[in-house]
Amino acid sequence: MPSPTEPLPPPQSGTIAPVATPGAATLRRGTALRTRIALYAAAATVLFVVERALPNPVPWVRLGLANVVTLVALLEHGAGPAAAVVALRLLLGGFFTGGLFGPQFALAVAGATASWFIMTAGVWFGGRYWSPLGLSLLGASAHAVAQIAIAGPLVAGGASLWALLPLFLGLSIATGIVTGLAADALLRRLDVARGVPGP
Amino acid sequence: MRPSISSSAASTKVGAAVGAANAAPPARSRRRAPTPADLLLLVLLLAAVAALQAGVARGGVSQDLLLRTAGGPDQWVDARRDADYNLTGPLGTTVVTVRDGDAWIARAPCRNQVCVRMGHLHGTRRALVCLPNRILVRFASKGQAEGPDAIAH
Repeated sequence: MPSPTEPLPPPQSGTIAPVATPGAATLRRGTALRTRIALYAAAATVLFVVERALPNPVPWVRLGLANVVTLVALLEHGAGPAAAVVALRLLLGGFFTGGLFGPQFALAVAGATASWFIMTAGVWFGGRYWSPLGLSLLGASAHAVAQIAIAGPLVAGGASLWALLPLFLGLSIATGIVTGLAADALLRRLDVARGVPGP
Repeated sequence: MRPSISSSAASTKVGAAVGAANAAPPARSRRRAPTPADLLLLVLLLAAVAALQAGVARGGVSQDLLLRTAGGPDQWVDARRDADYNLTGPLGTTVVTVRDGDAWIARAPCRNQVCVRMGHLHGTRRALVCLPNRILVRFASKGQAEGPDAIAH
């Protein structure tokens, strides 16, 4: 007859200890990965909504903190899960900010899609050369270009807004540096928590 | 600028990790920011911004020069072609010179010569205006010439 304390150890050693946390290799598919995606999407949505609520000295310009989560999901789990995080964040963010399927939503979709696409391409073709900082710069630039491209016909009544591109690209470089360094720091913390030696 | 802490004590662990990474390349980048490629990308992006800004300041895509007189219809000329244009107004003939994409008023029949002293035009931001002789010169796309750009006398 087993003692009453016997069923307790397995959950302690199996799921709670950070050493035994399943790595990215065991998270390819299944419930664990879906849970991760949901958590990433929740975090990204919170960042997105909070950023909208903050007072903003320059209109239309935001830090893009949600891209930190996209970048981490991309580098930790790959392009597919990152796309899922982006899609969920766009839907939930649009829902919570009241702009779902409006022009602002279209702008956000264009920017986030372009950003995801070019960051994925960056990982595939130059993953060993770029740190998260470089990937974030790529994503932020693509975000700016895509938004300028779609804002003209969508928001400005067909007028071309390309003259604004240098301004927006310059600002996106600044925000890309901030979010890239944030993603870099977060990924390093994740490595430390996992017990993986750093680069 | 490699950190020296990991080189002595944890070199075998790092070596093993690098070996494993080479055997099965991970989806994520393991480089620590900033890498040389990061900095190169940053420099390229800043150069692109500077070049774009210079392009916008020069007039962006429009190389069409609008010459407007009070009497006649609007004339459009290509600013990439060097030429002199004679515009006739109530006072006489104003000469607009175009060289290397720049335009300026070389001669004017008016008394104050304000338009001559306005200098060179090389962008969409400004216009050369001669009020006495009722002449306006500016860069604009052909489609957007109408509207609020009429001369107020």
